[in-house]
Amino acid sequence: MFYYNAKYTFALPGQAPGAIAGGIIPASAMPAGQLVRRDFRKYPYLQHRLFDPQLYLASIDPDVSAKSVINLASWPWFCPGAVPEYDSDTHHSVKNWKDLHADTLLQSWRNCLPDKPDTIADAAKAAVKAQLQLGCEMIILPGPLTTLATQQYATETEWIDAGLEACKELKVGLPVLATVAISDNVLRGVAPTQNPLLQTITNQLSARGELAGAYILPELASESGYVCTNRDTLLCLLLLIDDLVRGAGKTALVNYVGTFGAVASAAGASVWSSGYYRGQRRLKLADFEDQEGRAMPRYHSVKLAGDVGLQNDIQTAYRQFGDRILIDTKDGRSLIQSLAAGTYPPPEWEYSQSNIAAAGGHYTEVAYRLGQIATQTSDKRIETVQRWLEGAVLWSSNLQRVGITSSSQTELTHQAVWLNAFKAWRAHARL
Amino acid sequence: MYRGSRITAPDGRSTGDDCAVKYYFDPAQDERVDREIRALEGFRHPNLANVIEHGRISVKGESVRFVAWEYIDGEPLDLKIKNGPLLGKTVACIARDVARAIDHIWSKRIVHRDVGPKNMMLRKGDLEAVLIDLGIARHLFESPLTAPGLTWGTYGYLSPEQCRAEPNLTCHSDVFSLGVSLQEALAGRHPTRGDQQILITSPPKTSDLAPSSPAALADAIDLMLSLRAPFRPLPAALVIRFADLAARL
Repeated sequence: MFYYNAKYTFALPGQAPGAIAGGIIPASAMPAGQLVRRDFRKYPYLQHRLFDPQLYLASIDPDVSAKSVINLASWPWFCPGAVPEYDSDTHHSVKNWKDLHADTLLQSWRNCLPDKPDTIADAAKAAVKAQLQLGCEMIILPGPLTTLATQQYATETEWIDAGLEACKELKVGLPVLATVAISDNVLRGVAPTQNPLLQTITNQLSARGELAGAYILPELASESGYVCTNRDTLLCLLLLIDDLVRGAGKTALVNYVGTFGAVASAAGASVWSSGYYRGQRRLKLADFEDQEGRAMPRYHSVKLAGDVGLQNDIQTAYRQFGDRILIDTKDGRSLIQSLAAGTYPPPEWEYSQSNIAAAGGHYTEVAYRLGQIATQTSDKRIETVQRWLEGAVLWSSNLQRVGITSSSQTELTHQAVWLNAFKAWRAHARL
Repeated sequence: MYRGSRITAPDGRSTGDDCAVKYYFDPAQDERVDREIRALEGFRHPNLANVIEHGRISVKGESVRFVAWEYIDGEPLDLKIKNGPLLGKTVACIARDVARAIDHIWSKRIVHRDVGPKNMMLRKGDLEAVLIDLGIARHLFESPLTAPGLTWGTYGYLSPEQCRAEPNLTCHSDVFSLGVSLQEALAGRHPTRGDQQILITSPPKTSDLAPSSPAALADAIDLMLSLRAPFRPLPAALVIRFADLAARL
């Protein structure tokens, strides 16, 4: 099932389908005082909402990500007591509150992650309380980013147990998920099936009967584009899901892997989440900031399992292959029609800054459709995804054959890696 | 371990209750003993041997640590197995009770690390079992007393995670060791005749070791020996499964 990664406005881009199953609201989207006052009723997809406390962002740089840091620091699990909570009577508007306290929040940000048992307990409890207040359908326990393979996952389990204790104390009846935020630096270069860190993680999570599952997000510290191109990272993700779902009978939700989420759903993930912007598709602490104001439109091809550049490549591809690499979506229809009529580009697909409503709507509809794979039986899901990836590899080579090269706009290198990782998982799981 | 009699009651008199007394002559073990006592003092559980008293006594002028435990009137499982295979019902009862004990200690994030026939007492009547000796148990949030790369436990009963010397074990590890012990009880001999390597690469099927054992019992035990920890059932689930089997067999 596809969930949309909500942003500040909550509104879905373009003509994205209203039937999207749910949404995940990140703590960095807006200050605490503002989010708790938002009306979710206007957004059908947010009737099934999750809130991500994003503790794993504790080390983002306030000089690079000031806006996000101010929003994050307003939540009590980051810098408790640093500034007064937003109060409409006192501050009148969130803007006033931000203007008044931005400097203090930015200054208090560094090293503000709780590290003593009692402060961890308080922080975990605050994160659980916030989600209860927001009416979430599940509780995501806050968890730090795993960046070292040598610490035996001890800090992470301390946070998980603090969160579970808070849920017990608050008599939470909702399913509870542990956050598994893990840097690809610790997943690369070690044979995934033998990776001791991975074994420790699945061992620790599956041993906790109180956990319904895990909310898994890889941090792509070593990637520069929109998608993960590393086999080890992707295979680790699939193995992690498999151990939790097929092994321990738990639930797995995956975020920030773009449409690889559909592959994750074949391995057993019940929900994957994404969105049009780079910051919604993948997580990277080094450049974590809302840059949507400068975004350019991108066309996502389901057949290619990747984006095709709108400046030149899409026309080259159309001349050679017709509309076979395109897919009809509400927002993408005008693009196909203009290519057929020789009037490309239509205004809504013109390659210009911030002209992303149609591209965003198209991507979201594509993701929604891929999300429907989750409704198939397990065997069918696996076969569907295998065929999809094999097709994507073929299309990647077809496009290269006609002179299109991999670029920041056109993604042609990851398809073979995705297929390879998927096949390796199938072989390991004997499925 | 010695059998003794409880030496003090709240009013200072001997109660005369039987107890098992363990003496620790090596001062280097003090921290480990402290941890065992701390771990167990908080527990009152029917399937765990409870600590009655602990302290120091003088032996030939030397101060020696002792721990007095609840005396379990019964026989250790390893001695019982020497007389031959155990009945399916008895094995199901042992599984139910030891799984209950493992579940209880894991709720405090403690792993026994040495579950095996020598540490399981079968009470008279053979329908109740008690897990004893948390001497090398490990609390997840305490710093390890074991050097990195080393592992504790008994050869022939170690889980794959113990063999890899993973420091932060979970209840899954104790479940694996319990599974080996149950196979041994059903077969009347160690499932791999003590070969640890076979256990963690291709553990034998219970039905091959003890063909006459009830299929449902054998299947449940086989799952406990899954090489990937997450594929093993949690102790709480085992309690339900084996309680049902114990009632039906």
